[in-house]
Amino acid sequence: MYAPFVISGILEEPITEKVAFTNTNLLSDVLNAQLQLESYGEGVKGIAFIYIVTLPADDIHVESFRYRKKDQEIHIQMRLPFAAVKSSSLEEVLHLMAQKYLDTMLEKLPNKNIPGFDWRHFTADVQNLFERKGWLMSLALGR
Amino acid sequence: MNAVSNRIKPKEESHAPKPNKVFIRFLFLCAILVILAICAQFEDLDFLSYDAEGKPEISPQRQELLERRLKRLRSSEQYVLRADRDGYYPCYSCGSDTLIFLYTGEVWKYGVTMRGEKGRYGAQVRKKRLIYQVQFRGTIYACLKAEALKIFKYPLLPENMKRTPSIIRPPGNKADL
Repeated sequence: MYAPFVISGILEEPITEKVAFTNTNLLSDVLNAQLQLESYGEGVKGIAFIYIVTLPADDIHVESFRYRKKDQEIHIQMRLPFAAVKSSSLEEVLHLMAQKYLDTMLEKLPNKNIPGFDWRHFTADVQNLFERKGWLMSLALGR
Repeated sequence: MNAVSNRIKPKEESHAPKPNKVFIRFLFLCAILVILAICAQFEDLDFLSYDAEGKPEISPQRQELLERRLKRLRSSEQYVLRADRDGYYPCYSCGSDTLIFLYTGEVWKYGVTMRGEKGRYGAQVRKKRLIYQVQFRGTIYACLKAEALKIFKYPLLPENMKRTPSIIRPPGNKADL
């Protein structure tokens, strides 16, 4: 993997710029600058998170959460609702992306039980980081 | 000498026939394989079934397989991979140069994918900073046609025209098709 934290997207044309380039780059820059994967153990060398934002008719791209033991990499594909992204501002979409990232880690990592990876410490740090950035605040208030 | 011959004797006794577990397992495995092969032969015989009037038709299992195959061919997608940020990317159309500088959002590759092809994009993303954008959905034929049009018309894109020299096809496409 070209960086420890990779953020990308599988995107429908009309909403591409809501998710990519500004938001994907901001999210990956912040994660790569603020978190060091080696501080959670030797089990994970890279995490790639791909947001799927396509029309509901799309049956090609599916959600997945895979740990590649050989490369010690986690590869995740998660869906964000197309309508919600389309009707949200750039900043709101960033918040949706951050929330999805955190929710996915909290939901999936405990079940994966990846050897040599302190997922509790990692998810707590991700949550703290996103809260400090104010990326979870508007969604929490909206609930 | 006696002591030696005493040691040898029990060893000879160990050559007495006794069940060889590995051999038995091997035989058991062979038997399973033979049964599976026979079952597969019978499965091949089920490609036809007959209606109430005795008219032959494709068996329901084969019909289901056909439907699945046709659905897969209908559910195809033509996509473009774009540079996620400014930087150097591999170029397969740049002559002796192996890298090309792309600005954010510029085209790296056009492609087609079908339902059921898992992990293709994931493999690319692990190596390069790319965004996958859906451009067209339809049958595999329509998607291949859309891809061909885009690859052949790529030289006319402003992002390519401004280059000196411009390139014949997107940097990530090794061939026209």
